[in-house]
Amino acid sequence: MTNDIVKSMESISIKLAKKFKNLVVLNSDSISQYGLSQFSKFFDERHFTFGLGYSNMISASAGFTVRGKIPLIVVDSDGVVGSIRQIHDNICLPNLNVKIVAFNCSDDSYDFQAIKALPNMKVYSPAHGEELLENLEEALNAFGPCYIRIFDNSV
Amino acid sequence: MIEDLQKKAAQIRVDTLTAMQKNELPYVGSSMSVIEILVSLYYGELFGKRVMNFDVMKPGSAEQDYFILSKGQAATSLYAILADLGFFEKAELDSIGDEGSLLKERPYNRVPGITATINSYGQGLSIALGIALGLKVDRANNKVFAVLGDGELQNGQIWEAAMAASHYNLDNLIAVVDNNKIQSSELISGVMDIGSIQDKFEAFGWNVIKVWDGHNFDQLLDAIERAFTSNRKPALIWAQTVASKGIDFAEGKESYHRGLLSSGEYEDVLCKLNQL
Repeated sequence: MTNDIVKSMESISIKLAKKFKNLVVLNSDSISQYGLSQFSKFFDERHFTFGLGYSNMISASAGFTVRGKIPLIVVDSDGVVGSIRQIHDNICLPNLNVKIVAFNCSDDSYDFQAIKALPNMKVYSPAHGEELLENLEEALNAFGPCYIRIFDNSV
Repeated sequence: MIEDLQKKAAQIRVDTLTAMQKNELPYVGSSMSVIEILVSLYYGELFGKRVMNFDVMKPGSAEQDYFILSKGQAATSLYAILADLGFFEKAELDSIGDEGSLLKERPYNRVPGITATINSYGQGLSIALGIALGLKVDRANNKVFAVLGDGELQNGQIWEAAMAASHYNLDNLIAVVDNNKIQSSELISGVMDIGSIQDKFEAFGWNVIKVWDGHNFDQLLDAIERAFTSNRKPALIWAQTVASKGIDFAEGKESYHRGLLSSGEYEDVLCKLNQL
């Protein structure tokens, strides 16, 4: 399922970037793995890589909101679990307009157990590309932190 | 002007200590060591303009610079300045940390004049980095200032942010380290020595400016002026400070860093500071 979603993420990210002018994408390293090759190519000035400094990336998203940007963090579920403190302190507690798309989530990834305990966080779990687009549009039209969980049953 | 800044620092010191005593807030040492740094940024002038651009009547304006207090344990010192500048009523200083009060023990983004919520150590530089990147997206020339504690340099996230700031050539980001050499109630060198702050930040690609006396306004303003000229590199002002500065019997002593003054000590200090 994840491969299909990755493919759809390529077109979804372009569509959303055109619609939401304040959207910026923050991700760790692998652009193609998360369907961001096209976004990176056409919206380079709105795309920021942070390497494996997950905590820094999460906290930096709070800074982007100060300038009225809507950060879309595209990350692996491991990065989410490792940065729960930053998601709590810097995004959820002040109720900031940050959206997180987490790939490679599984029954064993513990991300959901951690995320569902956070204040103000809204959680989505799309089953396929069409739902991912619907969920992301809804999340971007709403104010506040949102978590879009991409489940991968092969993990 | 320097004399005006010295008087303002003495007043902010009194206001901060009074608020800390009333609300029984800890971290006297840390709150006192940072005062001249904060006063330089909020009241200092360079080239006939205020160091940090802000307008109390226009919070969130496009022209404003941004400030992040990463060492959130010194929030009372910042609150004393924001109250003095008129961001909120001075009476708010009487109820810091009370349930339902405007001011929390740590910076909170709902407070007028506070840019970001800081709940734990090591996160402020990353938030400042995000603002600086957002400014670059907008091609805006505003500056971002962040004040860090020296103890929080033990936190790995600081170095993630340091690496990213250099990677993105963020010359609109100026960080100041309040190097008072004490954390909690112990010397940093005994807990986990952070070594040479200058060497570390330079290795991460920063322009480091050392201030030998972080309570001297001439030196602080000179360092800020040099930081403004940093080209394609983030700037770090490494300020040597004294914990509990201004409280003669507590200066540099670990036991006062996190603690409170007794009422007798407070009255004694108040009397001396009010004479300045």
